[in-house]
Amino acid sequence: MSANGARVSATAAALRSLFDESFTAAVVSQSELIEDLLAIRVGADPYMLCLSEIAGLYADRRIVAVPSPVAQLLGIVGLRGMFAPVYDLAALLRYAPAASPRWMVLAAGPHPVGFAFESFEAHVQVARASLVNDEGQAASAVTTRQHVRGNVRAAGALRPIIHIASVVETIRNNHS
Amino acid sequence: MIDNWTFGKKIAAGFALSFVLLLAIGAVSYRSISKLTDTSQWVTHTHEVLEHIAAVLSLLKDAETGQRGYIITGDVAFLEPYNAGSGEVLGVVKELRTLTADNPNQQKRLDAVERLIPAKLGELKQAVDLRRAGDVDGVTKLVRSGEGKRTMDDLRHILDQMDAEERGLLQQRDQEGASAAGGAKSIIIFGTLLCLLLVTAAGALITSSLGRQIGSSVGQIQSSSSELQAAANQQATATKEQATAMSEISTTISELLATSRQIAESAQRVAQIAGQTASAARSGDATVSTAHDSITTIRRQVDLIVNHMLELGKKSQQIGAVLDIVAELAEQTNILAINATIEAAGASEAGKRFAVVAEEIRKLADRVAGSTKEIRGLIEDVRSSVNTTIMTTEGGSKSVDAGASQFSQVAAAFGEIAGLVSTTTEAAREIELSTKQQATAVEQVNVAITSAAQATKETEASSGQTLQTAVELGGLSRALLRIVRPQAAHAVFATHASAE
Repeated sequence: MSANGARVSATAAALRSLFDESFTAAVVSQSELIEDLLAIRVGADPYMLCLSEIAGLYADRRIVAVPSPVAQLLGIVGLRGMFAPVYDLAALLRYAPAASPRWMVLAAGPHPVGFAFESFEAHVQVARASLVNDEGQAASAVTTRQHVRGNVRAAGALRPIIHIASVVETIRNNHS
Repeated sequence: MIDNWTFGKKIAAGFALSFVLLLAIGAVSYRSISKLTDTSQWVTHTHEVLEHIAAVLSLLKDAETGQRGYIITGDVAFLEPYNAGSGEVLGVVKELRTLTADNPNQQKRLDAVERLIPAKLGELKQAVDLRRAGDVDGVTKLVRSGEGKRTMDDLRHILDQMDAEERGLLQQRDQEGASAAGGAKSIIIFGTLLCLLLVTAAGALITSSLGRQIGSSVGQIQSSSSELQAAANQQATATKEQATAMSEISTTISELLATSRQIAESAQRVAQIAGQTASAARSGDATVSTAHDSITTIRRQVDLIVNHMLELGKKSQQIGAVLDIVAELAEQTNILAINATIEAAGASEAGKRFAVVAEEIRKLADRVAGSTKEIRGLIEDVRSSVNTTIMTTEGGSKSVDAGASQFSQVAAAFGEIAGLVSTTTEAAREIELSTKQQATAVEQVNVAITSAAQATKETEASSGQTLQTAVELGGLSRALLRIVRPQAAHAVFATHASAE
């Protein structure tokens, strides 16, 4: 039993304790002060997605490709008895198309739309007060900047927050 | 041709010539002297015969004289000559016959004399007897008869003949003796002169020839003596150098002897060390064999370790697979938690409580995911360590194999070393023995060198003697040349003196 083994045991004990505490802790809602975000990467750049703008996070979903003049459309996917188009978020943000995006989020709203991307990093909760509206730090492209509604400093970097509704609106506008 | 004769041959020839001449002269002289002696003897003989003839006549005269005296006087004293003469005359005649035995004429005359003498003596005796008887008349008658006188006359005549013949012979022999003496004188004189002449000539010839030869030889001897002197000087110098070299050689041989003894001692020590090394090599061989067995055991243990490590690697892979499932479950849990949070956000107040649980589940999933990453890292470390251990172990196994092979080689090398050490031991012992023999030989050489050095010293002394002898030989040659060729010797002396 080495130091790593001891650390693993300590981690398991901490997890067990945390799991038990989750059922014993008092319910304290601080949702008004907390913003749930998903840390992702598009291309090589870090971004954030607001959890309030998405209806679900999925991984390794089978996307059925359909012929379409829209280059950003990857196909359609079946979710909970409904079909939703899936777009390449990197292509929509003017990045090079992703080779095989594994992750996908479903945008909230009356018309479900999926956005696929390569890497999901973590679910983070930040205080709303830490959100900043500096639009020019990470997203340099004009197209990208129009889909960014703010920035948040998390995981050691200043991450732009992608405005999903803006992206959906752009797609709708392009189709109409 | 005579120049080619040897010294002894020339001397012998000269002496032979002188000997022949002396022999010839001696022979001729001997012959002449013998002849002269014979002649002298014959002369003496003739004189003796003449004396006997004269004695016979004298005795007859004495007898007749005594007879006459007695007849006349009647004195017996006068008979003494008669008695002597009559008694001795026949003996003298007999001697005379002996002396003239080689002369027939004289023998015939003696026959007559021997007939007449008894008659004469008878007549005388008759007269004496008559006188003694006193018959003077008868005596006178007898005398007057003349018988006695006739007999005496015959005897005188015969004796005269004998005397004459003897005197003739005497004269003849005197002449022969004179002739022989003259011949002998002539032979002696002329032979001596001839001999002197020939001997002188031969002497001059031999002297001249020998003088040339001896002079030439003496010259050569002088030259040779000079060369011998120079050679003796060189030999003396060389002998001194040789003596010095012998001394150095003797010193070197002594050092060599000491070195040989040291080598022998070193070889003995080498043999002892080689023996110890052989023992150590045999011990090392046994140790290597034991080590080889140990390495074989280690090889088996290493194989077991490798197998266990491979098994550990497989188990790690299985753990990794399980961990993938855990990670996937954590990820799915996280997704479910996120989705639950999303759903809870739209579920009013009840959803908030559910969102808390979902948040806790998500945190738990995050922690599980983090722990899974750590475990994956640990497993990767374990796998890497296992792989490294396997590679290291396989390397160790190969090293063990190489070590086993090397140990086999070392064992073989030890065996070879043992054999070589045995050979070395034998060689060292042979070296020791050879070196001892060499030391003995060197001692013998040292003794021989010492003897040679002694001989060199003796040679040096002999060289000095040779030099002295060469000098004396030169002096002797000059003296000899002075004896045989004074002029040449004078010239040689002048040259030698100027050279000196």
